[in-house]
Amino acid sequence: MKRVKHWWRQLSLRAKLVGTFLMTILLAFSVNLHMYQKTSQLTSSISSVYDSSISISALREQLDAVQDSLYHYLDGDYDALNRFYQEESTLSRQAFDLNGSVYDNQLLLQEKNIKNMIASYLALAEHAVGAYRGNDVRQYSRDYDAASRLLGYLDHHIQVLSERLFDQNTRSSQNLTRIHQYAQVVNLALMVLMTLTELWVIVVATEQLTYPLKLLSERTNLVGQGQLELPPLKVYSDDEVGRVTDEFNRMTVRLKEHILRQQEQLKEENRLKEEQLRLESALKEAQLNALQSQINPHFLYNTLNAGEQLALMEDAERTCLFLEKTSNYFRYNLRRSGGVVTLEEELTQAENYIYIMNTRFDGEILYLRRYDRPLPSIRLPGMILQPLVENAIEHGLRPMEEDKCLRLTVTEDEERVIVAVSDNGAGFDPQKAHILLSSDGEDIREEGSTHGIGMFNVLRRLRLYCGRRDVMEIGTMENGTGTEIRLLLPKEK
Amino acid sequence: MIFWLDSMIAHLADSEAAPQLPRRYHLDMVVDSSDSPFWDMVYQGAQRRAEEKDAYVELMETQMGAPYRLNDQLNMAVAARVDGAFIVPDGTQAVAQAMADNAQSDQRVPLLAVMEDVEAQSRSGFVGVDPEEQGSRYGELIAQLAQERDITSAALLGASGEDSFSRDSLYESVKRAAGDLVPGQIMVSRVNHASIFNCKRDIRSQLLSEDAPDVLICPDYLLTLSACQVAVEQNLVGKITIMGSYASESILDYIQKGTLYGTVTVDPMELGGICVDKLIALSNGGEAGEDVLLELEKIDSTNVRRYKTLYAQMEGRP
Repeated sequence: MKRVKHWWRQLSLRAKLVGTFLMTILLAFSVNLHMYQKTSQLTSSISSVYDSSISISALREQLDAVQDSLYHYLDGDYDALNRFYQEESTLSRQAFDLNGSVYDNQLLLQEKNIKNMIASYLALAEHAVGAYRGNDVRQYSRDYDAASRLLGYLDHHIQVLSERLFDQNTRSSQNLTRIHQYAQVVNLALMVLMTLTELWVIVVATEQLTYPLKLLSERTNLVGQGQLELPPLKVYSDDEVGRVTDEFNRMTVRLKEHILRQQEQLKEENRLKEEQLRLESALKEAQLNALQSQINPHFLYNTLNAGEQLALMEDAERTCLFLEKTSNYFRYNLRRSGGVVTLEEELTQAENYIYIMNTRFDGEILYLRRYDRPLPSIRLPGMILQPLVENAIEHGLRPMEEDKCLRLTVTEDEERVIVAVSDNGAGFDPQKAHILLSSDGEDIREEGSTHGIGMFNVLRRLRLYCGRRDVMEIGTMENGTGTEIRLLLPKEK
Repeated sequence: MIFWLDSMIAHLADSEAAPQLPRRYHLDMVVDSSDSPFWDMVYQGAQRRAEEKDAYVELMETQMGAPYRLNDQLNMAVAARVDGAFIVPDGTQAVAQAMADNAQSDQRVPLLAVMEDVEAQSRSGFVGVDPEEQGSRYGELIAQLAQERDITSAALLGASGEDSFSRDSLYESVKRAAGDLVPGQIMVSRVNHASIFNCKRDIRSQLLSEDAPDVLICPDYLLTLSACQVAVEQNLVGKITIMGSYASESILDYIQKGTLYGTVTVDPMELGGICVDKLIALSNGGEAGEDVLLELEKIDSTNVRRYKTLYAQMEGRP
């Protein structure tokens, strides 16, 4: 039994299924075959029950035929001799099938008696024919009488045997019918037994085959829900299900290890990201502070120069306006120092600066505003436009004697808002523009130009804020003169 | 389980089928009163021995299913070419002729005459009793009776038309053994032996006649049974003394009740067994050998109880 169990465990799933099906099919086939065989046997027996009675009855007729032909021959009908021999031959053939052995059974013994008596009868009949041919009247008469007497005995024996056979056959038939009924009950019992056995085999085999699968399915659900701290599944067989279960156990262990590793890695990455963000933030703040600390003293210096010039000119109303603009300007500077402002605030600040500078240069700068309110609602670092305007005035317009023109333009496309600061001044050296836009600031510092430093500060702050490099373009105005600096600000999403 | 059920069905089928064991020898017992208890016991004895010798004894009268004359039965047995037959000749010419025909036939069947002998040429052997001895036994019974009362006459019953050497010898023997004890004549009375009815009619006629004998000697079973029944029916018990032949339960009962004075018999089982032994020997080409004369036993009121027990044992009764 242990060996069988071990052997069954070794089989593949397919072999087990095929084995189960084959077993049930073979069982059904063999039982049906057995029932068919038994039923056929019984049917054959029942149908042959009366064969013996029929053959015995035929003997009587044949004996009469032989006697009749013998009588006619001895009566002078020579043609009857052929018939006699034919009938005699037929009778011999029929008698040949009778029992000739000794049994302790009356019917069989009577058959033997009849067989031998027929032989004796035929011997007498032939003897009578021989005597007739030899004209031995006395002998053939005696033989014929003896044959006739024997025929009487035979007739009686055959009749008795026939009756006994009929009785026996009737009993046999009744018995066979009874056995047939038994066989039907047995067949029914066999079918029920076979069905129950097959059901049992199928249920047991299915349970054995599917139980590990059921366990595996339940465990898969639990693992899917994240329950990895479970004992390994028991492996019931060495078939595909057993191998899958075994592999699932190993996979669960590996998955648990992998998840632990991932969690640790994620923690490390988060820690590094936080560190990096902190560093970047600190860097930006430091850079902004550095830039702004470079701007404020320079501007303050220029403003103070303007205030000196204004005082010299003694113009009270304009002084008032001037002081207001200046006041706004400083207030903005103080409030927005290093912070993020709206485009409108930045433009207002730039215009304040232009007013202050125009006051300084006695209104000789023609300021052109090319934008309408409301402006696009984008944000940008503070103090971006003012240095550009300042550069345009200081380096573009100041060398000019007359017709100084400064323009602020705001346009937009699908993705960007473009703020342009244009002047019709001396223009921007393209080589310097290229250096400015492509350098990291070192070249600018080495050159020592305040013009370059302010521009680079603006450029760097914008790049840091927008997170991209293409935030500024330096070119000329539409007519090819002067300078136009365009800030390419991405729209907020 | 399937095979168990199959074997159960097979067992049912077999239980219904008649037994049919093969045997080597086929023997016939030809007797016209096989239904008598005596011959029934002879047949049992023969069959018992036949089983031991791988033979089967067929009772032709039973096999025929209808009453057939003894000579016809014998002719059938001969025509059926049995390995041997034993016959109880009834003393008729027809039986003697049938036996003679068989003896002259090319396919002669070994034939034993039982109890009643025929011409030696007609049979292969004889198994029976010595008439001399049988007569002596009856003489002993008559002598025993003579000590109890006076005997004036006695009659030996015989079948009418019977021509039996044995019967003649018996008569002579009885006369020799008891002639002096019977003042009157010991005569031979003929009765119709065809059936018990005829026997009883003739016996009744004799017993009710004026010259009815004191002692009635019945030398076969049918005569004994008929005489006892007549004595009971005619209230002649005690008035007539019947001496019978053979033994059966009813005959032993008659002895116990005093209806029958005594009987002279042989062991029927032994008789049957000896017949089978002799026929098988003959069938195998052996010599006929000497005739077998069985020992006779005398049963009367003094030993009837022992024989009753013995017969009950032979018949398998408790």
